[in-house]
Amino acid sequence: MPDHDVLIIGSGASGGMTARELTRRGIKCLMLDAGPAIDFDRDRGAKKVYDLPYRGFGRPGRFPHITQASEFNANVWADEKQNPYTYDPSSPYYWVRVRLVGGKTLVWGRASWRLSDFEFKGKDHDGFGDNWPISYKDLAPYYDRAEPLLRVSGRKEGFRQIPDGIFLEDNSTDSESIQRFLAAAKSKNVPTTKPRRATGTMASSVNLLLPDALATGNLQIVSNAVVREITTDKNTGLANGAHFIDRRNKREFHVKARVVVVGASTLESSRLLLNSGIANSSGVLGHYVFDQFYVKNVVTAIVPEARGGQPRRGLMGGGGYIPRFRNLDTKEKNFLRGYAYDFGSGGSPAAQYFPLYGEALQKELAATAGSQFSMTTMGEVLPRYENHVSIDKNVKDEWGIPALHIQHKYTDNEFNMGKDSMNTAEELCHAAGFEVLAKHWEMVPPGESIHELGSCRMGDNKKTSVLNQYNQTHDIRNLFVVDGSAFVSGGSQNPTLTISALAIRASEYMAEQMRRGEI
Amino acid sequence: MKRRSVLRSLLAVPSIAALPSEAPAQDVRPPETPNIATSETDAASEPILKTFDKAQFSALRKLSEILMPASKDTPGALEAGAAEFLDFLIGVSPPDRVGLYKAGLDHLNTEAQQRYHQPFAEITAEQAGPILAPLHAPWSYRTPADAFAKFLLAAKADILTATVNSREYVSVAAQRGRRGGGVGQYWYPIE
Repeated sequence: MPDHDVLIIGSGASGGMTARELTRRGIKCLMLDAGPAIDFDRDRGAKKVYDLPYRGFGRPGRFPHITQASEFNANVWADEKQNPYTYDPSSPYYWVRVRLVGGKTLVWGRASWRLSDFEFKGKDHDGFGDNWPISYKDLAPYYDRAEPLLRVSGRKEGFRQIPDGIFLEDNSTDSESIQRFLAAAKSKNVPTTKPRRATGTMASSVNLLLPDALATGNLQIVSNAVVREITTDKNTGLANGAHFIDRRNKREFHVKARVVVVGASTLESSRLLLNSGIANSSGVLGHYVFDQFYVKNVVTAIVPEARGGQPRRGLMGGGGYIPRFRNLDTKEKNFLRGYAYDFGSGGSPAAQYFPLYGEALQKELAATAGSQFSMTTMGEVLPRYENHVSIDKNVKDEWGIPALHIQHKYTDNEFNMGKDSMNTAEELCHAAGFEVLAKHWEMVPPGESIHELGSCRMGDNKKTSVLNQYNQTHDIRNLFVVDGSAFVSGGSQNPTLTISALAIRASEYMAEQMRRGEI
Repeated sequence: MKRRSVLRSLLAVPSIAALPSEAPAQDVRPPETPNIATSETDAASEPILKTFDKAQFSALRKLSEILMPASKDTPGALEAGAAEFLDFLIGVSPPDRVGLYKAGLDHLNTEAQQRYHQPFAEITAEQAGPILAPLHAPWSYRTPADAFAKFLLAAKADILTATVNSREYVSVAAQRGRRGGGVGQYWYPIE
């Protein structure tokens, strides 16, 4: 069997981007992914909801932690029985995983926002936590390269908290209801902009990244390879490959490589390092886990003119984004950092919001069809040492690999932010003349936003971080971790664009180190 | 088999046509193997009820009729077989959900007996109003602490979904140009 220049574990945003960057430079890569590859013709098809075995409800109890799972897409998500994890029952954690070639890029929401120095240098701004070892200007050139690859659309605004990028310019016209909301926000000094999102029929590693890498002839992808352990050379201490298990028949294999790159997704990567017993001289591997809290439908409102069941053309539709506006130039009394909103016009309010039943409910549902305006809060979660993952030696997955124990709680900082977001959203909707139908500030459990970050953070200090600024482990110079686990803080911006930019930057550094013979 | 189905089958007079005589010959067919059209299990048969006892199921059926009645345009929960479907769905659900439903349906019957000396299935929608009062509570993100209120909210959501996702409802909605459940992109088990 040939030895490979680089072994890449994981094929999603970070693994796919790393493969693309390295193979373009002539570096031979082997990629392992725990799941199978999708045949998009064979594995998908149109079905009527009443022909599904559970009439659209899905098999009860199959996915207790994956609220995104429907009976239509149930087979996309990682099976929780095969892939168990544990948590303290008083602090549930919803770990949402996809074990397919392409990873979560097959299902991501595509929102693509840059971080700013409000995140990279957050400690300088408000004194909490730690700065990243890089600043915005270090990553900006890599954002410039990631956005065109992902075909990000958006509108340039000049906001400091979400720097502009290389966009497909979004000049679409706003509906009347959105225009009213934008005017209301402006009157309250709340910034708004168009969504920034990856475009195209698909925006996945499997159509945007991996094909380019495969076309070089320098990438071999092995599917169904569940990696159990990264192996090291006893003499040098360097990584020299990985043990993996065939997902289907549990046959075991070992593969050798000169450099090992881990991009298995935030918590899976830390689990792999912890199970391998490496890269943890600092003792912080697994610590500083955070995500972004979501208050879904923090406000659900009705656009009064749309009542009647058939809103007039041009009134409804579209949406936008409110970037963080708290704690930029002012200081809030009861929370640090800030939150953002997604907002959207159109759709129909769910029956649950109406305290009615029978004919009265049906009449109200018909009258409000298509009249909904809703907002969702996405807030920054402060990285804390005590929020961490560790190996639960008592629980193993289908392949005998010890499972992860996850401990993650939100604190008053997040709760106070959630309450502030509810009050502000209600105020904005009232200012726009909308009828607020329902409001709340209850955030979904940690993990449910699928924006888990940290646990293998980067930093300049080897005693308080696992990676250096190039995603290279302090302890093992030929071992890199390129996914969201490297984050020091996360703001309220969806993380995939930053993961992609960091992976490009790490790959460039890695290739240069390999060229120089330093790794 | 229900009584009306038995009667229907007994009264039905089979009409068997005589086949034309066939001369023996080699059967000539296209080389491709055709995909055979089949039906889903519930398209041509009646479900066997297994989860709720007779009193509970009668209450569930009545509740479904009250919460999601038929309109002049669309079928309701009865026509959609929502109660029959929920007997199956709840039966394969985690134990706490089974318990919530059974206790909730028993409570409906107890309340109806105490108020009107009849089972819930025999009272009118107007009479049911006071019993179903928890459904008039304003929406809250948090699940109610009261088990009966929790049951009613769960049943409301389940009965509506079981109705609008039914073959009967979707077929009518499709004819009227409404979406009502309909078609989605399904992911087959991926190997």
